[in-house]
Amino acid sequence: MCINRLLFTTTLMVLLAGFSSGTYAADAAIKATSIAQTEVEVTDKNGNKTLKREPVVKAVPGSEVIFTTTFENTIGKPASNIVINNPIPKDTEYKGGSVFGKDCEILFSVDGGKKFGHAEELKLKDAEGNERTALPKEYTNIRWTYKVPLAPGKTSEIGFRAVIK
Amino acid sequence: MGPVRYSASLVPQNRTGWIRVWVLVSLLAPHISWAAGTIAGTSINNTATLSYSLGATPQPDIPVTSTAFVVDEKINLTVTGGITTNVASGSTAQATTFTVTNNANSPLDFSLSVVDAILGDDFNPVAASCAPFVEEGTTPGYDVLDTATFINELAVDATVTVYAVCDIPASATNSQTALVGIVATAHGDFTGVNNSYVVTPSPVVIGPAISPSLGANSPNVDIVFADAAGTDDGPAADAAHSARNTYQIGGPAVTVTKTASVADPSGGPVVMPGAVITYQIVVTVSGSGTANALVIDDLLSANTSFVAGSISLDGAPQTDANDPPTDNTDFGITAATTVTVSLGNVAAPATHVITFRATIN
Repeated sequence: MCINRLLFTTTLMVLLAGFSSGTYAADAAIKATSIAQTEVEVTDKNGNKTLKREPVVKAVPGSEVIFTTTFENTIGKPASNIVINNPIPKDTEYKGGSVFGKDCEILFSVDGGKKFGHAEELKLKDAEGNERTALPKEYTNIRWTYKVPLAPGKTSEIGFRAVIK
Repeated sequence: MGPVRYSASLVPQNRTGWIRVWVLVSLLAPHISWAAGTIAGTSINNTATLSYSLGATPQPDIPVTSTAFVVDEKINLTVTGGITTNVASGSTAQATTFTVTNNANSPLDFSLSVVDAILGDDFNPVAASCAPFVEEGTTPGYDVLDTATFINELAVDATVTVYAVCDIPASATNSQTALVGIVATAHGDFTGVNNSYVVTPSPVVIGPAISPSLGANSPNVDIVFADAAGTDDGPAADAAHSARNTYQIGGPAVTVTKTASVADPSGGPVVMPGAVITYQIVVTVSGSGTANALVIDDLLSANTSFVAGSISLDGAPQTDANDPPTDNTDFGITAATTVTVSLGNVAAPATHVITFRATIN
C-alpha cells in the first residue's frame, strides 16, 4: 500500500511537470490575429435588415473599416500586464467613439505614441499656436491596458473603426 | 493661319452696369469639393504591438498585422454651369463656359458632348452647330487656340474650363433663352500594376471607356462609380456628370472672321517662298449695346514676314507705330510679331475690316 501510493504520487508529479514544460515550450507566446472587415447591410426575404461583417470588399476613400485584433492565452499560465499599442493605419482616420475592448483602460495619443491620455486631455496647437482639443480623426495611436490578467485558455478581442482617407 | 484674339467688355444698351468679362471661371458659384482621397492602389494594413508578462517576467512583444487590402478606384466628377451668356440672334461660334472637376482618386481623361436640344426653353442652338472645346490654359476665354475636344489627364482634384460653342439661329428674338448642356464622362486605362491607372498622355486619343468592377473584392484595384446624377447624363453612378448654361438673346456680340489669299509672285496659284499673303479680318458687332474697349490682335503665322506699312482699317492705311489717338493700330509694338488694332467702344451694329500682308519665308 505505501509503495503504491508513493509510486502514484511520483508519477503524478512527473506528469504534471511534463505537462507544464511541454505546454510552455509548445506555446511560448500569446496567439494574436488581426483582421479588417466592412459592415454590409443584408436584407432577408421578409425585408428585415441586419448588419453582416465581411472581409474588406470595396475600400474606396470614405469607406469605413473595422479593425479587430483577437488574442488567446495558449500558454497555460495567466498573462498579466497586457498592453496593446495600435497606431492608426496610414491613410485612415480613427472614427470617434468606435473603440472597443473589455476590462481595459483605453487611452489615445496625438503625437505618435509618446503621450497617451483620455479624449478631453488630448490637445493640439493650431497655426497661431493656440491649443485646442484634438478631434478623433487626428488621433495617431490607441492603447489598451488590461486591468486584469488573461487566464489560460481565454480569448479577448479589441478593435476600432477607421475611415479611409 | 495664326490665331486671332479679341477682348472687350460688353454692356447691353438698356442695362447699365452689367458687364461680361473674359475670365469667367472666377464668377462661377464657388464649387465645394472634398479632397478625392487616398490614391487607388495604395495598400492598407493594421499593425499593433502586444506586450505582456508571465508572472513578474516581461515577455517579448508580439507584433500582429492584418492582411493588407488595396484602396480601390472611386470614379467621381463634377460639371458646373449655371451661367447665362448674352448672344446676338444669328451670331456664330458663341461660347458658354463650364468647369469640369476630377473628384476621383486617380488622374482621368474625360470625353465631352454638348446637349443642344433641351425642351422647355424658347429656342435651340442651330442643329449640329455645337461642339465642346477645352481651355488650353495660356490665353483666357474661348479662342482658336482651344482646339481639344476631350479633357486629357486631368489631375486629382483639378478643375478645367470647358466651352460649349454653338451658332445662334437668326429666328431667335430679343430676351429669348436657350438651354445648353455639357456632359463629361470619365475615361481611363486601368491595366497597370494591380489594375491601377496608367497615364495615357496622348492629347489626340482619349483613354478607353471604364466599366465598374463587379463581384467580390479582388486583390487588385477595383473600380467603383460614385458620381451623382447631373442634368443630362442619366442616373448616378454612370461615370458621367453634366450641367447646363443658358444663352440669352440681347446685348452686343462680337464675331471675328479671318481669311487669307495668296498671290504668287509669278502670277500662279502655287504657294511658295516669296508669295504675298493678304489677310482680311472682319469684325462684326451685332445685337444691341456697345462692345467697350474692343481690341483685336493677330499673331503673325510662323514662317511669314510682315510687310511693313501694310495694315489698313476700313480702307484707311495705318502706320506700324502705335500712335493714338489718330492711329490705334500697330505691328510689333503692343505685342511682338502681332498686329494690334484698338477699335475703342463699338456700338452695335457695326462692321470693321482690317487687312494686312505678309510674305512667305
